Amino acid sequence: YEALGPGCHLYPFNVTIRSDRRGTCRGTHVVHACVGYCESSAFPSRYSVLLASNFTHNITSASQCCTISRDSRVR
Amino acid sequence: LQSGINLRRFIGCAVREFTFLARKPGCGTLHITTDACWGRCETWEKPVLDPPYVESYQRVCTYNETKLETVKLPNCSSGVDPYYTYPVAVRCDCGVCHTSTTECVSSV
Repeated sequence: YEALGPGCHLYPFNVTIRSDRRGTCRGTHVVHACVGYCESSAFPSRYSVLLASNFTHNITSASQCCTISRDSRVR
Repeated sequence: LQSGINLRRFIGCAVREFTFLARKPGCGTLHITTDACWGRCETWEKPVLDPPYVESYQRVCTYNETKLETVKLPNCSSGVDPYYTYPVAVRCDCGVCHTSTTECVSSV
C-alpha cells in the first residue's frame, strides 16, 4: 500500500463470487477498496474534555479516515 | 520529527512539537510548547461479501509512551489548585485509538 502515499485512494482487488455455498459456479470480479495513509495527530486534551471524561481522557486524537463514501451494486 | 523531512509526503508517526493554551477555571492561561504526535497511518475499508459487508482497518498516530509534566498556572484565585498536568510524548506510533484513555475524534 505504501506506494499509494498520503490521502485516500481506490485500490483494485479480486473477489471470488460463488453461486451457492458449495461453489457450484464461481467467478472472479475486480472491486475496489479505499486505501490510504491519512493524517492524524494526538495532543493533550482541553480542560473541558478532561472535565467531561472525569480526567480519564488526557489525550485527544484527531484523525482522518479513509472510508468508502459511495458504492455501486455489482450484478 | 527531523527537520528537512517533506511533511507533504511523510508516512509514519513521529513526535512533533505542539503548542497549546493551558487553562482551567479560576486561573490565568499559559502557552505551553510540548512534544505530541503527528503523522499518517494506514487506514482502509474494503467491501466483503458477508455482513456487515465492509471490513475496516483504521490506525491513528498516537502516544505510545508518555511522561507527565506539571506546570503552575498564573493568577489563580485563592482556593484554586494552580497546578496543571499534561502528557508529554516520549514515543509515538500508529495504533488503535483507545476510547478508555483517549478522546477519539475522526473525520472522513
